[in-house]
Amino acid sequence: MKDYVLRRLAQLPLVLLFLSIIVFFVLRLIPGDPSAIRLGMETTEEGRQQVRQEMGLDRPIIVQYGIWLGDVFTGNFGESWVSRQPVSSLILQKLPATLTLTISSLLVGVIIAIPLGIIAGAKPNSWLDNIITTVSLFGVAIPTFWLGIMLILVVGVSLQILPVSGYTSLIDDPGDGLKRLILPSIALGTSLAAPLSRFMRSGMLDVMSADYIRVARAKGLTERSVVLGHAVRNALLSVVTVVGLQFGNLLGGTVIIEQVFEWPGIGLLILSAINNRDYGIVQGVVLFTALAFILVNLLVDILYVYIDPRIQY
Amino acid sequence: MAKQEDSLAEMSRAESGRATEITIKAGFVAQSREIWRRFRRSRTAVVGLAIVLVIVFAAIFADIIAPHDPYQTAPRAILLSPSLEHPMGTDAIGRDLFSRVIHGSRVSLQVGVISISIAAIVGVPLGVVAAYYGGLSDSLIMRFLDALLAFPAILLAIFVMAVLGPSIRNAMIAIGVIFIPAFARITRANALSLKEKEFVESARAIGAKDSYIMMRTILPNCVSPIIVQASLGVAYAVLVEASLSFLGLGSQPPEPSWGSILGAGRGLMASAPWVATFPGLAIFVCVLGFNLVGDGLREALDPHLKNT
Repeated sequence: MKDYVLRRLAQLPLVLLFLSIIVFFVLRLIPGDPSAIRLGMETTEEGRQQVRQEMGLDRPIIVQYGIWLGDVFTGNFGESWVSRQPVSSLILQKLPATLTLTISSLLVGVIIAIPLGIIAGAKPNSWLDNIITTVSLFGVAIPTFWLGIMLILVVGVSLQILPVSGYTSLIDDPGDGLKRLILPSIALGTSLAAPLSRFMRSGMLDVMSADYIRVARAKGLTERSVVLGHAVRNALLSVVTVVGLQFGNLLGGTVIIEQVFEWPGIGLLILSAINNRDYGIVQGVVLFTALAFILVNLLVDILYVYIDPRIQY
Repeated sequence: MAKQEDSLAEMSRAESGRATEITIKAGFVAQSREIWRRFRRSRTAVVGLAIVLVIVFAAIFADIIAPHDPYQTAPRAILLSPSLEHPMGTDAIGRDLFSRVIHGSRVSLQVGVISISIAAIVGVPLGVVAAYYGGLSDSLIMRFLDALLAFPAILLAIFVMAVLGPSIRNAMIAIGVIFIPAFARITRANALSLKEKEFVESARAIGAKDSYIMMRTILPNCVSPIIVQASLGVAYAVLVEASLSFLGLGSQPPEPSWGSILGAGRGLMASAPWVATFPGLAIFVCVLGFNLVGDGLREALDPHLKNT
C-alpha cells in the first residue's frame, strides 16, 4: 500500500505539468492577443508595444510559459490585469467565504446522505428504500442554482425567515453568519447528498452480503446492531473516496451558488473577473482551484489506505 | 472447366459471405430485442424514455406546438401570470414563456448531443489507443486526462467559455472537452480486458494490422458502456449548459435557452416567480429523463451487473 501512495506521488509531476500547460495555453486561445484586452482603449502602437513587453508577449511562447511556470512554483499566481494586485492575495481574501460554504455544504450533504443511504441499503427494495432511491434520483437532476432560487423564493421572499444574500464571517458574528449560511448550504449540500446516498446504499448492499454479516446474524445479534455495529462502519469506507471526488464538484458548484446568493467568495471573484475581461485573475483562480482539488484527492487516497488496511493496490 | 469451377467457388464464397451477413444481422436484431425486453422491465427506465421522447418531439415540432412566437415581445403583456392564453405566463418584455421553454428544448438537446459526440469522438480513440499500446503512450494519455479531471467540471467550462466568448457553439466545445476523460477512461478500462481475449489474439495471429484490431475487434465490444456513458453524459451536459447560460456565459439573448431564461427570472423573484420556476422545471425533467434512460440502459446492456 505504500507502493500505491508512492506511485500516485510519482504520477503527480506529469499531471501537474499537463495541468499547467492546459491553464497556460487555454488563455492563449483569446482571439487576438491578451495585450489587446489589457490595453482597452489605449491603442497607439507605442503603448501597445510597451504593454506587450511588460506582459512578456514579445518573447517566444515557450519562454513565456517557462517564466510563468517559474512564477507559479514560487507561489506567484499572476496578477490582475486591471488593478495589478497579485492574484494570490485576492484568493486569500476570498478563500474564507468559499471554504465556509464548501465545508458546511459538505456537512449538510453527509448528514443527509449517510443515514438515508444506510436505511435504503439495509432493507433493499422496501418501500422506504424506494422512496429514498426516487428522491435521490430527483436530487441528482435538480439544478443547484434553481434549487437555490426556489429556496430564496419560499424561505426568503414568502416566509421571510432567513436572509437570502450576503456573507458574514462566522468569527465576526456567528449568529448572523450561520443564518446566511443555511440556504446556500442546503442548496449546495443537496447536490452532494443525492449521489452520496446512492453510493452509501450500494456500499451497504455490498457489505450486507458479506460473510461476517451472516456470522453476526447467526450469533443472534439484533438487526439493529448488525447494521449499525458491523455494516455501517465498513460501508462508510467506500464512501470516503467519493466524498473526495465530490469535493471538486462542490468547488465548481460554489461558483454558481455564490452568484445566486451573492456570496463574496472565489466564485464571485472569477465571475466578476470574467465580466471585466480580467483574465489574469481568471487564470490564477482556475489554477489554484485545480491544484487544491488534486491535493485533496491525493490526501483522501492516502487517508483511505490508512483507514482501510485491507486495501492493496 | 477450370474457369467454371472458379466462378462456382466464387459464387459459394459470395453466398457464404451473404449468409454470414444475414446471421450477423439476425443476431443483431435478436440482441436488440433482448435488450429492449430487459429495458422495458424497468418502470423507471420506461418513464425516462417517455420523457426523452416528449422532449425530442417538442424540439422537432417546436414551431407547431408553441402557441406564440418565442421572440415576439408585447409591451402590453409584460409579466402576466400563468393563464390559459399564456400557460407559463410572460417575461419582462412580454414574450410567451411557454413558447420560449418549448423552443429552449432545441438549445438543450443540441448542446447535449453535440457536445457529448465531441467528447466521444475524441475520448474513445484515446481510450482504445492507451489500452492497446500501453506503456509510455498509455501513461502520457492517462496523465493528460488526469490533468483535465483535476478541474472541477463547471470551472473548466467557465474558463474555456470566458476565453472563447459566450455562444452556443463555444458551449458545445467547452462541454465536449470536459467529458473527454469520462469516455476515454471507460473505453480504456473495457479495452484493457478485451485485449487479452482470444478473438483479439486470433486476429493478431492471422496478421491483422493494429488499426484493424482496434477498430474491428476491440471497439465494437466497448459499445455498450459507451452508450450508457453517452446517455448519462447528455443529462449532465444539459445541466452544465443551463449553468453556463444562467451565468450569461452560454447562449445569448434573445435565443431562448432554459438557463438564460432562468437567469433573467432570478431578479424577478418577488414580482414574477414563474419566470424562474418553469425553465428550472424543464431542466430538471430533461436531466431526469436522460439519467433514467442511462440507468435503464446500463441494466439492460449488462445483465451481470450488480445491484447499484
